[in-house]
Amino acid sequence: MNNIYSTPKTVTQTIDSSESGITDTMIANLARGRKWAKFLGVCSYLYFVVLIFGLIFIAVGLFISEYAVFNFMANLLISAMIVVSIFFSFKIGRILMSYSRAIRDLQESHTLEDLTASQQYFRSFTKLLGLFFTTILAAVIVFFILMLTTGLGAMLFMN
Amino acid sequence: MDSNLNLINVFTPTRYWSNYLGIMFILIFASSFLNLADGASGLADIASSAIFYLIPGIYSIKYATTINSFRHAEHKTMVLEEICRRQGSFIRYLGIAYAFVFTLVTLGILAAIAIPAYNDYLQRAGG
Repeated sequence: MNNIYSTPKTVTQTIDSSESGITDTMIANLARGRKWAKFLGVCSYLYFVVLIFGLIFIAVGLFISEYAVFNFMANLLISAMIVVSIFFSFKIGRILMSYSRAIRDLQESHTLEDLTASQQYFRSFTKLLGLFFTTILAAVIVFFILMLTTGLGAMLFMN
Repeated sequence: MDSNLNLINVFTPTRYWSNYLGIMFILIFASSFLNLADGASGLADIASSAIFYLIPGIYSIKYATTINSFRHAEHKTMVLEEICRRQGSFIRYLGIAYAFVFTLVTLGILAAIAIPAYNDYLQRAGG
């Protein structure tokens, strides 16, 4: 027989905040990374600026021989890597800022459109970072092969 | 139920690249073992690689795995919330790790300026 005086059992159920099925918990969970995404975006822009300065210094080293630190070929390879890094850091910075903005919009609107936009930015971020790491790994392998075949490693430390 | 399907369709395209990114992170971590011959500095390199590549790689792969688990899950909404939590945690972890690096670099630059200046000051005061 049921005890009618017992404490009623609470049924925990996530309540949909809109017809789209997006719950407050989902938005709160996504929002955990919003400010960090903005911070990472700013860091990425800073990295972009630092890399541009690095490229300028290397270019100066390339064309003014008395200031040249490394061999010409090694300098060219490093410059190519820096150019690639400049491209990726700028794009990643812009995407992370947009992702942060999209999450902020989602917090206000709770709509599927804003969620879709934020996920498109997240997808672009993972895609670009993945491609960036692939490029870096490929460059390291090429560099390693060049070091073995042409003695590039020795040239780096000769001048 | 349809709304859950709509939502998972929003997250599914992020799965492939997250998986790929996770694998790349782990590959970079694995490549840090090439520095093992350097002794103590090699070990420090592996430790820092674990912080910056291995852990984010695991976060990224777990995120993709959670999206995969949606199809067989009983409580679809809870899985969607878990997906969002993992995405937020991944970004937050990356942010905290890079904030740590940023702090270390700033302290390093300050130390590189301050320590020689302090030594110079001590020499002048002594002499």
